[in-house]
Amino acid sequence: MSAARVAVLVFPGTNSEEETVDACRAAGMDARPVLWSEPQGDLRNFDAYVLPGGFAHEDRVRAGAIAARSQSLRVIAQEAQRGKFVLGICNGAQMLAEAGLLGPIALARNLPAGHFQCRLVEVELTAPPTRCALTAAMPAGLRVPMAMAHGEGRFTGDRQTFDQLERQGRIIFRYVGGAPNGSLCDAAGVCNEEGNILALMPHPERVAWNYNLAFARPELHANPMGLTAAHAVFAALAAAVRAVA
Amino acid sequence: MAVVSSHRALIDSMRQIDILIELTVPDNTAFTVLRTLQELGYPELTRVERADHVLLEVEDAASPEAVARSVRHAEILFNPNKHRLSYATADAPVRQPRTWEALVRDKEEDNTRLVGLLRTTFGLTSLHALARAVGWRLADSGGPAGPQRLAWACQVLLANPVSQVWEIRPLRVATAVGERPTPMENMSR
Repeated sequence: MSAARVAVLVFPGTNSEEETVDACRAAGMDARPVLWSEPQGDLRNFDAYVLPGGFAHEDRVRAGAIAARSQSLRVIAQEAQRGKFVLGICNGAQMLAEAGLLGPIALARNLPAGHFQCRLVEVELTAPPTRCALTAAMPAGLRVPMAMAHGEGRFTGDRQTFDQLERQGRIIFRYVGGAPNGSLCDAAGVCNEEGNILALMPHPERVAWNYNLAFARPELHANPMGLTAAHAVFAALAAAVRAVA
Repeated sequence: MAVVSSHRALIDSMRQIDILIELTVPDNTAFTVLRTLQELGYPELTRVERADHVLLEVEDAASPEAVARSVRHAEILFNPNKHRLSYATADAPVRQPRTWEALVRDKEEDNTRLVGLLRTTFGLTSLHALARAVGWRLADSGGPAGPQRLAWACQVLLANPVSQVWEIRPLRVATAVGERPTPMENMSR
């Protein structure tokens, strides 16, 4: 069986594509960066899509707003409707929210901080793993270190919407110990109703290898190229694609 | 009742000043909005202008000119190398010919620290509260865009209805403060 073909979308201002591609490849996927300006038809040939972090189009107007209205996102939205998997990380999550692919949810300015926040966080898989196809291969309750780095990462919307998200089990990941950015329900990752699109604000790819975390856990220097628990996000994506192949 | 009347008295003793901060260098965000709105269905759009609004609530006795000058010295809001600043009060006349502006604000914001900094570090002691917004003006070959066009632009791009609110309003005459460098030709013009 051939490896899952994964497109890692690169817009002007995207800055996490290399480590995202590496993390996908370390999970056995055939990942490559795809520029926003490449022929849109080629995008349809991929099995899954990852929208990586950064500041696409300099986050002009709002974070992810311009990229969300691009032809590339339209194609990805169409492919997602056909059941393909989409993982948005940080700026990629903001694009998914701006494109309306999560429903009436926004990623707004962090509050009460009001500014960019950058720190190591722990997130927990609080939904049943099978609620979202992209986490189906993870053990229930998995706790994962991730790198939070955003100024507009506060999941927000009206109370009814979030009550519904809770009822539907769509808040897949939550910050352990409370959301530093003021996210409603401590949400760190939210999926769409169908469960094939996951918007994740903190970055798993930035702490996917031991050497990324060794500053905090010196014992990891012994095996710097070992994969951390955060890599489970990419391993689970690979498993999801394999499951439908 | 006493609380209500004292609150009323506080409101009565306040005035609002709308500070407009605009770029004098090319506005890349306005240019991106121009191209995006053209692609989204407004091909005849020729010009986009953007202004950061700082809506100040100050003690009624404060002189708007003095308040605006204080803001001009607050580097956290204003950079004389790339900005120009003007202000409009609620009783300023509407600009003629009438020009419309879409004002977009976050539904939730917390400016407590900014108010504190302006009151202490920058000496704006008359400041009571502030809100921030972005104002957008559009124009095509027929002149300034009207309320309907602006409302459409807010719906398709300029505002996120989940986290923001917007209103369309006529621009008031604004008074320039300090040196007003000749604006460079905006890329979107």
